[in-house]
Amino acid sequence: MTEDPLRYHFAFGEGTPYAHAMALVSEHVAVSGGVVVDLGCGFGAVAEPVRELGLEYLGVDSEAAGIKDLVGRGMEVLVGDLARPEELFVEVAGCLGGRPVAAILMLDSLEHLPNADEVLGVLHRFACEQGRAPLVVSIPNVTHVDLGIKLLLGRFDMTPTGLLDRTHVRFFSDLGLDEAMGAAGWFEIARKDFELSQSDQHFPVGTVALEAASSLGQFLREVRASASPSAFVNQFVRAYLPGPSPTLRTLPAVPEQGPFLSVLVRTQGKRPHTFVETLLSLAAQDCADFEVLVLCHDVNAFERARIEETIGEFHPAFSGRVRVVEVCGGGRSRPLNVGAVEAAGRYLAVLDDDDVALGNWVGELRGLAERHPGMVVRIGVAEQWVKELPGAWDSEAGYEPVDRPRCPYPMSFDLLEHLQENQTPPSGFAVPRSLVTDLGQGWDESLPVYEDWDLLMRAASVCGIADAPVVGALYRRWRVGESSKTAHADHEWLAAKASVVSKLDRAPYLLGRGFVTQLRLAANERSDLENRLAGTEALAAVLNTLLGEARAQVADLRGSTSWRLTAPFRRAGRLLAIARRRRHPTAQSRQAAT
Amino acid sequence: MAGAGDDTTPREAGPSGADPASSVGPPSLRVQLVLYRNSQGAIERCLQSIATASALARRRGAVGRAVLAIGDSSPQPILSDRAMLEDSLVGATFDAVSYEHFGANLGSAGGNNRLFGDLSEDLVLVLNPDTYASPRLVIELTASLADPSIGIVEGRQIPVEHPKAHHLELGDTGWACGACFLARAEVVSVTGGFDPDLFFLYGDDVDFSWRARLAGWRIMHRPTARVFHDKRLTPDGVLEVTDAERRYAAEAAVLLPWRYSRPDLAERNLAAFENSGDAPLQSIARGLRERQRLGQLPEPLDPDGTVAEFVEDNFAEHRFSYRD
Repeated sequence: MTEDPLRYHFAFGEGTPYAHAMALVSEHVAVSGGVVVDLGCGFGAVAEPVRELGLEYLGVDSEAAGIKDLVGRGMEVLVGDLARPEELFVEVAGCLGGRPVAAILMLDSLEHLPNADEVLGVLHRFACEQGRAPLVVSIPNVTHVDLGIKLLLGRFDMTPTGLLDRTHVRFFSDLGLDEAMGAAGWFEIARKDFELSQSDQHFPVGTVALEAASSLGQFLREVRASASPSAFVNQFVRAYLPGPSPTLRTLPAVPEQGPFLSVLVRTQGKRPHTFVETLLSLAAQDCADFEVLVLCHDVNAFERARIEETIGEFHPAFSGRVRVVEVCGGGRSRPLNVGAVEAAGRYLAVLDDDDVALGNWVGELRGLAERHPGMVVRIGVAEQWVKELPGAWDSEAGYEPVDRPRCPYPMSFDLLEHLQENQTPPSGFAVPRSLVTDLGQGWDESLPVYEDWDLLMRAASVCGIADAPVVGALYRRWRVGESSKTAHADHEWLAAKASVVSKLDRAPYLLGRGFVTQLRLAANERSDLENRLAGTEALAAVLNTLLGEARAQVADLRGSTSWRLTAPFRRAGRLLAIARRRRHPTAQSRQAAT
Repeated sequence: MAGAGDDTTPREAGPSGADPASSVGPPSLRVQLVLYRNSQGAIERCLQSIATASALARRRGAVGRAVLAIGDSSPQPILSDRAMLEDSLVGATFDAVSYEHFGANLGSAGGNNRLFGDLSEDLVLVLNPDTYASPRLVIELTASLADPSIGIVEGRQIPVEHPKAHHLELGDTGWACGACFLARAEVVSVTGGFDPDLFFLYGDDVDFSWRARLAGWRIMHRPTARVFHDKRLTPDGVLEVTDAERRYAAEAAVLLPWRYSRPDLAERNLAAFENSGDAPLQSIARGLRERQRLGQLPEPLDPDGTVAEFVEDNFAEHRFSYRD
């Protein structure tokens, strides 16, 4: 099919990817007064803006229409083909004739080249020879939310221009672009990505899944937007400098198989006596398919050394699976997010430095995850009240239990109950790491508390929850001493709760199988209660009316003449009755007197 | 073995006043375990942990020579390939490692007593195979025995702590739990160790401790000597117990009052079993009645109740109850 060459005749203007590219050129130009080499220039939309910056322009392309147009505008051009980059760059060098290169542009051209990697490599060498000139690219994003949604619907609409231009032979995602540029030796120095909430692929109009107003559209856009920052990027507009040598940063074809679980242990180094018990309980697990990340949050050098010494004293079969990660700043969520990035496990679980696992903790979670891959896995947690005993590092007991373990948290997950209040301690569940790394659903760092509840509720929506009625961990409640319950004021808890609910309300919430029935039952119960309440209120109203009428009648009677005239007789009768009781006390009054 | 050296005269301090830690060089240590149908994984973890704790204690000079003795009451030898005994740390830590398949289920009392048979070290650490020792367990336990009046010291069990009370400052407690304790060899030789004729699985540690106290030693709980004991909880938060544990605990509820001069309690508990309507308990009661009829009751000890404590159904004050 012959394409109309004029289809690429785009004009420069504010709010276009060309303007973004020129902003980068003006910020990162190598030499003032040098030449900007525009590779695959087409109609040279940026030629005039380049000159306006006081730079010279050299357009390079093999398409005659664009070259002719540029010549007509008085621009310097070179007819050349990027299919033979070695030859082309010799010709470009000849054309430059020793003039310095200010910048190299590749705007919407790399995706048309079957030999893009080769071009980037040769260009790297050329740029190094030309005084390490920066490269500015503009490249369509094949992971724009519109394309993702349309793939879900089974649509892949190639078009004459745009994100799915029929002549594109390479498709770039954010990661893919990083990989290609890095492999050729280019290091990113700046970006001004061009975003469109609705791309040229936003058609047919009215497609339910595409429209941001529909629930499905909102949900899909929310998922995509949470996953990475490039959801609405139409073109990646980035500037690079040639590095000393290419770096081979290829993504592994098959991701490395990590352990089942990464256990995130938050510690501030303040509870050494319980921290060692947390580690001890992990070392003793009957399933060893896990690693431990000890997240040292704002600890000083002494505390850090103490933590490392404690870990190092364990047998290598365990200590070899423990990593120490230093975390600075932020609240309770920060270490967990840092840990998630460092983690290699397929699932993430939290065990704080005053929690202990029972021997089955990891094994039960793994069993559930194997039976329900991709779901949040949840098991029971017992809580035990303990009182703090003042103590120093490993020389005192530290604490004393004051009650046996109890299980106040429900063994099975009830979404409705959980929407009202958290009923799962942090150690009671594990989430797929993919939830954090692929869907961007980390722990909310703006929350001082409730960060675990917040994540659990968001995870419940997208993952669903598989649970087992077994106890796997012990959650300590401190009668005296510091825990998050005492370290934060009531108003902080209330504000955090409101924030969690508000976030859940902000986007559509996916409900699992069977929830409709659960909701119907709850609605029926509410209906029944309302009916009963209405009946009780009606009865109360009738009784109130009757009472009012009776009071009115009594008042009428007391106001009557006959009532007033008979008053002395009633008084005499009462005195007589009292006198009789004194002479002949009843059995009951006798008993009371003794 | 029990009774061979019974000495029921209370003493002010330890019988000999000997302090292994103060003799020339650090005390020698024996670690002993009795296996019964344990998983390979559990045994491997236990051995790794106690080798680690023993090695650390040796490096810090808390103990000197160390040996490991394993007895096996399982129907078939569990450690047939003995590969885990060759774990680099186990091999490097212990000067000698022995493994004996008993060919019969001797229970914890009988198994440990068999292993006590050739005890020649200063200290003996009795450990359940379903435990995982914290790295400083041996250091902490031996530190308590620096006091010559202390004969036995037990560790703190996690995640499910034993509810038995102890003195918060001194650590004194009524008896030492058999899942993990360190005893002087002298305590074993003076008391004769456990009493396998009377106890099989439960109550043996209470009896051993009380006889040690009658012989003049104190029993210590050391909360910094941490040991993970693989106990599980039901969804109600109650300790999971096996049928065997239930059975031998019930027997101990009669045998201990018999031995410690509380026939009234023994009779009350026996009658309760008989009237319980619970077939296993009634069967236990029949067996105990038969022992009573045959005159196989133990010689009563501690007639003045100086060491034996019977508090509700427990053998010491408890800090909290596992029953509601």
